[in-house]
Amino acid sequence: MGLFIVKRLLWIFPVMLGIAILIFTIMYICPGDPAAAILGIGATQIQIDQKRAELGLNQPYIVQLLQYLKQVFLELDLGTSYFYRTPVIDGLMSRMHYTLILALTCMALQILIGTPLGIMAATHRNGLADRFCMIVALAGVSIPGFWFALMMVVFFSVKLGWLPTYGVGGIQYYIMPCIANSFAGIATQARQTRSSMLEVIHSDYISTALAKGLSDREILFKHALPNALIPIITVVGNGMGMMLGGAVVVENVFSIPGIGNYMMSAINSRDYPIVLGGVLVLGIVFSLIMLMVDIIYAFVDPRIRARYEGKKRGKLESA
Amino acid sequence: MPHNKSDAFLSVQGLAVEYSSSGEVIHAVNGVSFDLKKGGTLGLVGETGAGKTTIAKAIIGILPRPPANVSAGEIFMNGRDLLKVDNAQMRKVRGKEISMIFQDPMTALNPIMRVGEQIAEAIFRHEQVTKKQAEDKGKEMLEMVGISTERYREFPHQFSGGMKQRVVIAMALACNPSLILADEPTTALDVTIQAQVLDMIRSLKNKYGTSMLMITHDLGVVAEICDDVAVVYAGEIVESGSKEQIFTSPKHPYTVGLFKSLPDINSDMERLNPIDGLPPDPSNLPAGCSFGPRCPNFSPKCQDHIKLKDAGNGHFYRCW
Amino acid sequence: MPKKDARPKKDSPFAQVARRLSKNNVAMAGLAIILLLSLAAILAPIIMPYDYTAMDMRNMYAKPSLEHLFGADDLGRDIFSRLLYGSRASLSMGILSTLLSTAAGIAIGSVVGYYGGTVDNVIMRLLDIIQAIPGMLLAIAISAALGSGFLNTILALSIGGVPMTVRLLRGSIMSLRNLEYIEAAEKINCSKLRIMLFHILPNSLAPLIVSVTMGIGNTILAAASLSYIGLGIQPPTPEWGAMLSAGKAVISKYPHLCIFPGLCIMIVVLAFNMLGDGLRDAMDPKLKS
Repeated sequence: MGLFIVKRLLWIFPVMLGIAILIFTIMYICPGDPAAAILGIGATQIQIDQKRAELGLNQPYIVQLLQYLKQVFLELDLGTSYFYRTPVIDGLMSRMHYTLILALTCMALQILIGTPLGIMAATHRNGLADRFCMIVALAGVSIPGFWFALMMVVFFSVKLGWLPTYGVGGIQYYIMPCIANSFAGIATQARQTRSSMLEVIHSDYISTALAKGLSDREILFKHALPNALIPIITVVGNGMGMMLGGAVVVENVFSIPGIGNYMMSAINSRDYPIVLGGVLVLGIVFSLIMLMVDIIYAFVDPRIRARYEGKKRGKLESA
Repeated sequence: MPHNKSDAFLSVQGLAVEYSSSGEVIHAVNGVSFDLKKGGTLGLVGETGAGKTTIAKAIIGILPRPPANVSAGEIFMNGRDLLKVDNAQMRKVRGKEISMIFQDPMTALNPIMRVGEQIAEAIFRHEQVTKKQAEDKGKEMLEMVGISTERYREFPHQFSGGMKQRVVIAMALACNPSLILADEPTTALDVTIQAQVLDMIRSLKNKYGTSMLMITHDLGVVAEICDDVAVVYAGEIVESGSKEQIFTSPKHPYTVGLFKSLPDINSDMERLNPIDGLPPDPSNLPAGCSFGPRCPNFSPKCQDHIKLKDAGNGHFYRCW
Repeated sequence: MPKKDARPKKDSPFAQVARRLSKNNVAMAGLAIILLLSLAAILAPIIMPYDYTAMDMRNMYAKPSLEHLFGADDLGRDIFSRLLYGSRASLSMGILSTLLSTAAGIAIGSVVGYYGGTVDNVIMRLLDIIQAIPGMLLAIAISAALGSGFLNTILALSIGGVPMTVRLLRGSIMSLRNLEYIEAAEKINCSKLRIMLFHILPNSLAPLIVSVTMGIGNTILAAASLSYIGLGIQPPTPEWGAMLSAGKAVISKYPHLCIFPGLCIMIVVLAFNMLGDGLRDAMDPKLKS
């Protein structure tokens, strides 16, 4: 177990490096001149050239990339915003908590609502509960989150006046953003839990457990659920990615001053260091969550642990 | 089949099970009757899909309902009709009085639960013991099937197929059941391991005087372990009797065909003699004898209902 | 002679899937919606009641009526016509970028799955990195870099989907390549390409078809999200997400500017999900006892 965690932890560094290279490259090929953007419309060509030299933009790609990587990983500096003229890292950190609160709350909702829904559907196969859960789940994966958010605003804020339309503040400000952003996650979780449960319920070891004389409850909680949850752990991890991406859009709808909004306004003003930094930071957050997911996996499933601890045995089993 | 409730330990009478799926009804078991003597072993022989496993699952009451449904019959154990026992009571029977050994040890164990705990779980459930006592008994059971107690806390993936089947057997025997339903316990194992496992089952069974229903398609296993034999075809028993009667003078053409299809070390035949054709579609059984379409002696009267015929000394067959 | 197979003849796997699918009302409804919408998208210039660019200042923000079925927008343009025309952008973006990412995924997945070893290790680690960025964020970053527009958006949407297809294909190749019939094909000197094309790919088809169907729905959703936040396709081109975005400013007074585009997105995505679910059940009857 310890060895597995160490191995998995070490893997996070190349992933982070990879994300940085990928994002830098995407931004490098994009059209538009940051130097011109910084100086504004009135700048002369000489001024722009000067600025380009100052920013190192006339260097070859590889030099710029190495410069950027050194700056990010050795100096923990994500650059300076062209527009705000403040360090990007400060801008991101001061907004981080809004995005994280939103994404983590949504992830909790996904697990706490989606899983029981899926179990209920699977244990009441083809019954009323199953139908209901599956309709909710199908709706959840099909309704655009931002549209759902707007419709809620129209109904709960404009018509009924129950909830604030936008902004941040107390818990009431988070209700609609969280519902809008987690609906798809809850639905995906419910669907996956259901199909995973159904598959497990048909496995032989459930027959074995039945033949032992265990009660339905014992079989559900000791045998079926722990096995059914294994593939669902991945869904939870991917769900977090969905929540982080969705947070960007939902922040936009509700004017929540999180990383998403920061990035969106940066995109409009071609303030690339912010876009780069934002994606990088959220990518790292996501990688850390996936790391946790993998550790939980190994904790739950002894077969995975074995694959990492003794290479030989793991190969034998998977063959 | 005539029967005498008093001397049969397990008596199945006219059992019929159907599966229904999307409007289709599959007749998996059609009026099966047999008796099992106390301490005896009855071999239920037949091809894959003949309904053998369904019979066993009906006895221990773990048929998935729906789609399965017991449409007729009675299952007496010690004079009590198990089909009339409610689910809560039946849970006390399962694992305690009747236990089952499943066909595929690879999938019969919960992959993420320690093997020892899987054995102790049954003991804790049925005996008035503490968790610790259940664990001790579990270790004892492991030792009994020849696995070191050190492996109590290991997971199924750390065991070979034969060892897993030993664990399954330990689990089945843990509460000293009076009836074991062994569903092809050796089919998934290597031949050498098969012999070991069979030996173990037999000696443990003899030690505790357990009665056993041995489900198999392997006549070699029958020869080795069974006292009586019932041959199942398309959810029906086509012939039954003592092992000697069936092996020395089979009456039903299907039974005869089964023996003919075995390779014979003493003859120099070049090819095996399989039975032509395939078992009938259980959702669309032929009228009368269901073996009719494959039978070398087929005649029009085979399409009528055929009664059981008595060949004497408890040997019965369903043919003209 | 009675000595014959008593079972009825079974039809081909494809026919079986089609038969099971045709019995599934939900899936058939999904398919019907998709076909109907595709037809509407193709015929849009002919069947739309108004020119989608025609402004009509007397009808600014007109409520839904017989004259303007879904009302009119801030410039008095007929929303129904705009939605009809906009289905072209949404459907084609969804379909094209899913096909693009699936094609790329199949190509990479085949190489990775078949050669294994170092090739597999290197490519899979690279894909790990792409997957380490949440899909929506990656699409945002790419379309921010490339700028808005039809082709750029398709590219932005398809890159994030590649790793999933590769994984899916790789998984099924890995489980297939050890099977006897692949070994047999190797023994009789079939070329690797032939084995890949004729033996492995057809057997990996079922999960791929399901993932493409579901993928189209999800991509349409993602495309609308991109347009909504100001990337992707931009006004005045009618696109559902962009129309929603334009209506947002006046949503409290004229909600119909937002309601109908959103409903369109939902119905299309729902239809693809319904069909995808049905296909999965039809191809994997194990779960549907």
